[in-house]
Amino acid sequence: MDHVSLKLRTGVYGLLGANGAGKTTLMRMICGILRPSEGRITLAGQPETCEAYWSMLGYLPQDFGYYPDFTGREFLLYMAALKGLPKFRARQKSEELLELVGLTGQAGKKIKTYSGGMKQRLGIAQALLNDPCLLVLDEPTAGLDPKERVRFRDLIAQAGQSSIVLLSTHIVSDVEHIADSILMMKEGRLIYQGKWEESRGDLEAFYLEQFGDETERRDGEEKPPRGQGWQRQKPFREALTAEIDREYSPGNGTGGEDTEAETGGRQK
Amino acid sequence: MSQLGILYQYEMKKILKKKMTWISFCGVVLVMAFCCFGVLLNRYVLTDAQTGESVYYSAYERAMDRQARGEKFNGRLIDDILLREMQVAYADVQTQEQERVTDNATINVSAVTTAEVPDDPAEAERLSQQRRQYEAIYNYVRGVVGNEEVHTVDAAAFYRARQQMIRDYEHALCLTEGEQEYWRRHEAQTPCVYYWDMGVSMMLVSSRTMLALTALMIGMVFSGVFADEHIRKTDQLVLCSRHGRGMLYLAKLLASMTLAAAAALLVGGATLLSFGVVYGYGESWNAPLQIYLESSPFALTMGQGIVILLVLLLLATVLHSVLALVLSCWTRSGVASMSLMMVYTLGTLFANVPERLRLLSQCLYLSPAKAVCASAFYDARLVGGAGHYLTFWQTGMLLYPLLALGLALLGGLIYRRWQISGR
Repeated sequence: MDHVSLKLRTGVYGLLGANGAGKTTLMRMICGILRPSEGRITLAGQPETCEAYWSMLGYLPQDFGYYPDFTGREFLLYMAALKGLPKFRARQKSEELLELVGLTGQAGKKIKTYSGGMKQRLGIAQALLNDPCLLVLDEPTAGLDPKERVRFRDLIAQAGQSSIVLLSTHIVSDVEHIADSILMMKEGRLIYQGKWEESRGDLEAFYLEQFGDETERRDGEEKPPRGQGWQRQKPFREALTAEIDREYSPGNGTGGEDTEAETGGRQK
Repeated sequence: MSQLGILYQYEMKKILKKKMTWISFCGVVLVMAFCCFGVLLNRYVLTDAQTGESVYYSAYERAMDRQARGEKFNGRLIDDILLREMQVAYADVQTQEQERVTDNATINVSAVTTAEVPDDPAEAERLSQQRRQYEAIYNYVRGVVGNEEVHTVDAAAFYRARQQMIRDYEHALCLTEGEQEYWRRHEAQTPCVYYWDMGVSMMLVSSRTMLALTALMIGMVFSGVFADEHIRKTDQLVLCSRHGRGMLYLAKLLASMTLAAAAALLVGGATLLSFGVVYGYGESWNAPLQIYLESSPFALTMGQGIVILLVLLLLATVLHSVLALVLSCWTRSGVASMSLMMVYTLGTLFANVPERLRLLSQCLYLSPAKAVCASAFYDARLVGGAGHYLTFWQTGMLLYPLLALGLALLGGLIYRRWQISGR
């Protein structure tokens, strides 16, 4: 990360960038599971390394891990206990979310028998267990079929009405319909943030203009000359000096200006 | 139920659902059963010198026969009367020690026992039966005074010889004056009463095997507790949840400690029960420890010795579970932490440090693999000073929980610093 500064309000934020742009690193830092070498992250005044912060957070990682011998229901109840939900509330919320993601019929089956799409749906369900104020979704639509993708987008759009949703992807079509704001990353830096205005043209065209070159190189396994192209990203990961600042004021849950978050960063 | 209780239940479930848990536990039970009772599968043959007829009998029958004869002396004071009876029974037996220098220049001392066989077969049988009646006493006394003196020793000389064994061992252990003074005041009193001790002595002998096997089992089962979270990538979900860094660590720790304690109790309890069923304990539970460990200075009964070893086994197993957890958290690799546990267990089991390097030697011998065995009652080295000392097993009982606590705190620090990177 380098010079990253963000202030987030209620709504859906689409985080775009090629592979290795730093999307996952930024999300891990926001989730408090990867410590930045410099800078700070806050949510409602709480730093990202305290229980109060984590109790407001929902996270679906890119590579969603699960316990293969747990059933879907057991997994949600376990995650609910980790998130500090009382037992009765945990049961109630788990059933609600199983219904929401269409897994009620398979809730008693072991997760190792689930398809990729079912696991991903279970992943989103666990992220929503604690009604998070900040929902971080790292490439949530990867591995989903078109029907499930549409269903997923609806879920995310619904969550974005009352929470901050940070959605990472390198598939432009996933975000252009549901994201209120776009964050675009390249080589550890934010190269664009804000609403995408029609006057700027097509988002996908802009994206390809920024990343097309890198994407082609990666797909073709073609190694660029030393010191050029995507190889330059490595030093940024090693010299991580971003300050990330976040403020959050819990509102009435209806969104708008009452819910606000800020993330800012600068190199010291 | 509190959140900790719920998380504890799930962590127990995670461990119990692993195939490795059940495979290693069944393996420990099978190996333990074989180590303890495999010897009973042996078969012996007795051939009549005159008729040439052979009679086969099992090791179990032989053990029961010896036990029946040994138990006849239960409660008999080892005094001049008993020693004289034994010496009369063995009057026709001569035992000579033979020294032989082996290829690697060590001296082997072997005893050759010969008996004059009368021409009359009935008389020969009577003398043989007579000797066999006192075989238990003969072997015990011979273990203290040696092969030649056993035929002439009286009670005073017998106890002097035993006292000398203790002094010699104290010298070998490099005891300080304070320690020697402590043992003058606390060591077992003489004379002692004889009891047949097969069941309890087998239990004492098996304690080291139990410890080693449970340590290996714990290495296999608990090495994955944290490593699996990393391998399955569930750590990134867990660590950003409200209780993921604090309460979850405690839940994992408590679940592992509970299961380790249960495994120790099951293995220890099953072994104790099995020896009780096969050999019985009877009055030997109250026999002085010196009936089995002649040169032990500890004033304990065999039963107390077994209880102490079982408690040490329990504490050591819990300590090992915490160690396995910390290694799992530190390495984030099940294979690496399992390997380190094996190196630790086998290393402390087979390593040896000369007693003259007092501190190093004492530290090594306080490690569970060395301490949870009969030597806990041989080792007269003490911990403390200024007249206040802890014996070997008392130190172990205090040290193991403290070490477990220290390791748990260290593991907590490592866990709190756990970062998700490089995937």
